[in-house]
Amino acid sequence: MQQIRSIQEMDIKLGERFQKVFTETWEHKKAGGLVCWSTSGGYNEFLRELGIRVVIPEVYGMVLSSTGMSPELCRNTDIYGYSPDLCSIIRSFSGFALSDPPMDPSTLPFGGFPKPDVLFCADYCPGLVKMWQEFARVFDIPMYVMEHPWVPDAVSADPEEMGNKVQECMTEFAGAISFFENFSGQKLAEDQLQKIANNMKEASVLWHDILAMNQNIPAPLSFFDVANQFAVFQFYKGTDECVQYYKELKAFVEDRVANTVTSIPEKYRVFWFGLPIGYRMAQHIEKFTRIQVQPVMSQWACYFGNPNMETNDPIRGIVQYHNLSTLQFRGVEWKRDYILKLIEDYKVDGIILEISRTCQVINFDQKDIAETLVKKTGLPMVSFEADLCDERLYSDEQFNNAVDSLVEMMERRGPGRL
Amino acid sequence: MITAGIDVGSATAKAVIFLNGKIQSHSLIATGADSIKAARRATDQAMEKAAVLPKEVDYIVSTGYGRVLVPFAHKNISEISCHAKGAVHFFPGTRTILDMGGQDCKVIRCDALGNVENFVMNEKCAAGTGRFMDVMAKTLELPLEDIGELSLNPVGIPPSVSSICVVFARTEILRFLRKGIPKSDILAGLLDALADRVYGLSCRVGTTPDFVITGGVAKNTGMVRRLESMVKMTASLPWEPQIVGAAGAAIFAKQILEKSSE
Repeated sequence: MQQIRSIQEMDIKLGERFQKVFTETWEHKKAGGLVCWSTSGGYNEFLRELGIRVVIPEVYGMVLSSTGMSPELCRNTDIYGYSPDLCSIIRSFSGFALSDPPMDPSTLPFGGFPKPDVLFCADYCPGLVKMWQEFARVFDIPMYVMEHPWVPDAVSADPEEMGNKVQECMTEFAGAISFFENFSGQKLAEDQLQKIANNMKEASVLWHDILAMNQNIPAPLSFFDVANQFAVFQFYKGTDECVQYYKELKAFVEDRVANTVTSIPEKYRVFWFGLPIGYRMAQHIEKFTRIQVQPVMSQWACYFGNPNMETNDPIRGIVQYHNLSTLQFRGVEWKRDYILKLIEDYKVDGIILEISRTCQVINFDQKDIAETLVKKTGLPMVSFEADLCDERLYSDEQFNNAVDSLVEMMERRGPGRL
Repeated sequence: MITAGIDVGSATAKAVIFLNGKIQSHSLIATGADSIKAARRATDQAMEKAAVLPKEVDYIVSTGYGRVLVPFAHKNISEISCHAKGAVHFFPGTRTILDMGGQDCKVIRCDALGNVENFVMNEKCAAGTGRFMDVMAKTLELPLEDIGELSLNPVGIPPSVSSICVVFARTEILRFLRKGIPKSDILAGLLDALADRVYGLSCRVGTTPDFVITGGVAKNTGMVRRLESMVKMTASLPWEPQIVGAAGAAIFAKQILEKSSE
């Protein structure tokens, strides 16, 4: 096992993994292989075994945001006639996906990715479903939409009802496997799916342990490090490589805990209620370092840390894995309790609420949950409006003002972690 | 003990000299392109009015968007905290502050000591800000200070202003003017739409009495009356609503000095 020695080294390894995915996908396509564009909500792990390489445009949208290319690409999508109120991640990757003539891949981060032969969509986001339908129309290719049931709070609280929902998902998932088997002309062997489930479980336990180490004071990683490292799951979930990556990462984090090393000096710890702003991540890290405030956790980072996944029946296990860890499918109370527990476990002094203006999935219940969190914890909270890829909806002044005010509120409150 | 508070906003720079627990003097100048110069000039003016020499000022706190740019300030504090602190100085019963400044609009809830409990800011949009009012007054060729009063006396039914985007609202106003709609009616429609937007913001933190309106837009009586009617309470208006943040900064300066001498 290779020993990681620094955050920089960790990020380099991450970059290498990303480059490998995109390079291999191009090579696969050039050799006549099949490429699928999939949503990030999972269930696509088995496609690799059928000889189909998976690209996740949403993750690439975040890459575009981090590299500063999103504004130009969002503008392209606007020019193609789509509304500027659509999700900016979608607009970001669609800006080159729909470009005609196609953009030169060498001008894109990691060399971009090839056009798809097939589409896979898990329906947790209405905007993505519509754009996937659009891709299917424009590229004239087949698409499979996995209809995932919503799990209201009453169902979450009833094991029998929950079992029915899992069964519903299992039927849908089996349908997806059958669809792609027919499409690829290959059969998925039971032991292949079992291996995927086993690897998913092993990486999931590793990730859970890595995140749990951030409960240490000081935390070994900032939320920004966590958000970056989380991305490996998206492309490698279910593989031996994914397990190996997180084993190395876990050893690195254990070493930091043992030596009390942290990413950001930690006078105060905060919970980041939202997603990272890729195009400002470097500035945010610089600011938080200067004011010694470490965002230690966010609810999104915990997505793939589901150690309770069963593996006896791989279809059931994979469904449990996604169903149980994907917040979008759950009711407000379930989400609230889940986040409340994170806030308690990670012993924070305050909460930063990031409001993504064009995200249809998060916006609906975010405010209610945030208000309840404040009432139940008594912690100070500030919010700022932004967007994941569209810089036009973000203001540095408002962000700085909110964060500075939070620090003043935490200073006045004094040590008062939960 | 003499302290100073400087609030460098996007439109105006304000300074307050605080002496023996009272505001001794204040100044208010346009910020312009050079925030540092504006801060210096505002401070010099306030000191001159108070007959205080720079070396006699014991502690200076800066606030506002340009707070980090004031080289002679001992500390900078966000305007959220300073507005809460300043509003409680003006009206001790203050629990909610609506600050409508040059480029932003915020609603702050605070405790009896002026400590911030919660706040919300407008999104990246000029609606409800001084800048918006300024553009509309210019479009209608009216003095800024007259538009509030005029908006309270429409001749007919105010037209519905559908957009609160500064660019589109301006286009809409020009269309109303071409149709011959009186300026007072246009202003009434416009301020109805803006007040509605600001009211929505205030609902997010809740409006508890005493309710204080600060910032330049507090001088717009049309806006104030509409908001009072929406929140169903009378607003307290400081004698100079634009210096509340600077006053809060000066009070923080005093408290910091007192704490350090304990």
